[in-house]
Amino acid sequence: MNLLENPIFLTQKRLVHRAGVLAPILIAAVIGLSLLGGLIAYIFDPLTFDFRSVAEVGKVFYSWIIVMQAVALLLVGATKIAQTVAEERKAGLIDSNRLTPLRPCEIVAGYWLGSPLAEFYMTVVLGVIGFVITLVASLPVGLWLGTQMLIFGTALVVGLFGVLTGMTMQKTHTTFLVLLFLVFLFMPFVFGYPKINLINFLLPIYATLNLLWDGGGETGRISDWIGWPTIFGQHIPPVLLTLLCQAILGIVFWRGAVRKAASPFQLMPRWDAVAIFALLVWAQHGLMWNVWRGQWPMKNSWVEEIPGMLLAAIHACTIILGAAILAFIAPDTQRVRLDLLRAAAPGFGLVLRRSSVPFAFVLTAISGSATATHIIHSWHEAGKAFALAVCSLLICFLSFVLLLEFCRLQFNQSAPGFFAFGMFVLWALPFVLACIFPDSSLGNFSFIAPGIVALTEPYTHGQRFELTRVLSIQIGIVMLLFIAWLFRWKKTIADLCAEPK
Amino acid sequence: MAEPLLIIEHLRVDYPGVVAVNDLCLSVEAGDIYGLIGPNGAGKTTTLRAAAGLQECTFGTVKIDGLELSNAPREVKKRLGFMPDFYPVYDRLTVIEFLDHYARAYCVPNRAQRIEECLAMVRLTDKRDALCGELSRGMKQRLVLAKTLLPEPLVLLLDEPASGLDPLGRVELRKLLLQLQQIGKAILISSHILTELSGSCNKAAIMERGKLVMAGSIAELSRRLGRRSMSVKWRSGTDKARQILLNAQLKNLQFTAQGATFEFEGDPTALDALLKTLVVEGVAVTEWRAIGDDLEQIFLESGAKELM
Repeated sequence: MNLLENPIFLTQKRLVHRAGVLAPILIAAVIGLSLLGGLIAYIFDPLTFDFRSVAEVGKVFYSWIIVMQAVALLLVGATKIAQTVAEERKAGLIDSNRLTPLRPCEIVAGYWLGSPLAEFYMTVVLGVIGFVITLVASLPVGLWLGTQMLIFGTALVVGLFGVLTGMTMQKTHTTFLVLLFLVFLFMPFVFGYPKINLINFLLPIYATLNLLWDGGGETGRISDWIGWPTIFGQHIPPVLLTLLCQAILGIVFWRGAVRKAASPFQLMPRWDAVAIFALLVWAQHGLMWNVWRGQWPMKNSWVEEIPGMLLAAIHACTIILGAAILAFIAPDTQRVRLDLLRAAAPGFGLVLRRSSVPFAFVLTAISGSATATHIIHSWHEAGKAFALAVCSLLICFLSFVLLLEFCRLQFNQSAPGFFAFGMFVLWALPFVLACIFPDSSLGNFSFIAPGIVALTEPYTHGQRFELTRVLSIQIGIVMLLFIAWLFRWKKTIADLCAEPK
Repeated sequence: MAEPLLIIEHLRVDYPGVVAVNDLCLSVEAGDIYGLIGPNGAGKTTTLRAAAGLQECTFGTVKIDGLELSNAPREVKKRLGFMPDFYPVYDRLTVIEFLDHYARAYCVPNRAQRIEECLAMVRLTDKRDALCGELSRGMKQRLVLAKTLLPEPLVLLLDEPASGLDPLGRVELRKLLLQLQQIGKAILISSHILTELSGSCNKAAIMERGKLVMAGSIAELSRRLGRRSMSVKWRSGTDKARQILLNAQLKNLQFTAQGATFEFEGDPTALDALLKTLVVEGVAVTEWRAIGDDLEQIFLESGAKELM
């Protein structure tokens, strides 16, 4: 079905137009024309402005256009999509649409492209004015084309994320606020090491600033944004890298949203979530591969100001990302219960197929192999630290997923509380104790600590011995968790077998 | 004999800690108005939602016009109309725009004409340009009914369709259901208000705690309960008639001027024999009919009343 005949798109268009689109268009036009006016004023009277050239003022004013477009389409537009989908889901309208012969992809496309129409109009108006600014300031048309491609490309991906959030989450605003918080949290890091930070390529930050400043001959911090990034030592155009990362994310979000539109009972594709994890981890390690070129911990002479904790920081981020993915793909207990009921002979094999415990090993393998690329030429020096880090990562993931599934089975409604308490004890309490009793070695007992310590330079033999001992204790705790998890599942299966079918 | 338009086989739906529907089997043929009755929480809505594909089944299959829902969802959706027990409408669309949305979604031919027909069916023609959000609850309900009828589905699943309607609306709904029955639609309709269904359903199923207690035609259900309330009237031979009826030792026998009502238990052929006796003995019988073959009586006698 053609988009213009898609009833959901048409309805969203009607709703947007009924709410009024003239005011947003006028706001965008006034902002854009003010910037264009400023540029023209500079051309007529350059002395009143503190700029070196028309091109420079053009770039500054055009970058404001990009910021406005990003706020309108990426922030407001995507939030609006998520909100519309969530509201219509709660009102039963998504179910009504699902009952029609519309294909799930048509339902997704209708919301994805229909709900943010007002923001789309604003972005187009700003884009047209931005084009005039680039012409007036004699900036290359490639700058306008590249940045517009990035804005609209990112808007499509973020919009799909909005549809998926609306289809699955109860509180879409919270999700977006958390994401916004995370973006601001990572901002210092984003601007600190722009070429090796994946966030700069998932969002079009590096590619946009590179288009704006590359070839300008600027020095200082701006010089960080000049040149192409490398993936495992290979130079890649930043626009291409950004669009590639976004295309992969977009495909995964699209598949998830279409599955949810087809049936709210369908599970999210677990291997898609693993693919996202692999993409993010491998891309991040690929971006920073040039720092050590396979000889970690020995830095290359051409890389300056890289802290000794860089690899450890990535390890910590991997733990957080992996835990989020595991929580996402962990089975709903009711779902496993239904599968067990349906199975002719319910057994533990089915639990293992549904459980996310095996995925703890998969995620560790992905992350471990990505980390190993940094030590391929320094295996003798760094092998033990690497092994400790991988072992610690597996323990982190296993403790997380075993505790999560045990709590869901054992405590039902109060599972989130018990799970949060368990995670606090295992992961955070040792750090709190290390602060209360000024003894930093207490912090090593946290499940996330051994990997971080092992990948932090400098690193001594004594610390390694200490970490091995801590890891042994943690392995023991994970074994106990595994036994508790096993018994709880067996009890669930036994209870189900006793139920009349 | 044609296959029933809606077949539900061994349906089971589980919610956490409760089996909402358990091993439910029923079939609705073309021209049937099938009442699904039961107290609140009996599993009626879950059954209808599962039949529409909106609720995941643990076990069981749903076939519509011979097509299995899980195998051919798009084809099934073209043949199915589902009206939920709440009324999802786009508040900021007009009535006509709302129906246009679904007419496009179902690729209805002659869209504008069909929309007008459906609006007329539910008496909303004069509200065609009103915003859906400005309609009363009953009007929204009628609008959702119009939306359900829009693609002329073969099978209609109506969940508590009359609960928010005024008396006139209920009468019209009943008329509409009978019209749809005449043109061969299969209608499965749920309600816990039995008077809503009486007079329009020709078949019924009684649900209790997710299970089907009893199902079949109204007359069959009465027979299975082993009792029928009867009314007899005559033009002449009053004394003779009274004598015969008194001798038959009928329950709750009550005489009127030229007639009587009574309850009959046992073999239906004995009832035929009683009529034959009256006629042979010269009583001019003008009316001989079953009364009270309504859902309320059936439901109350089915054993499900304890849950009400």
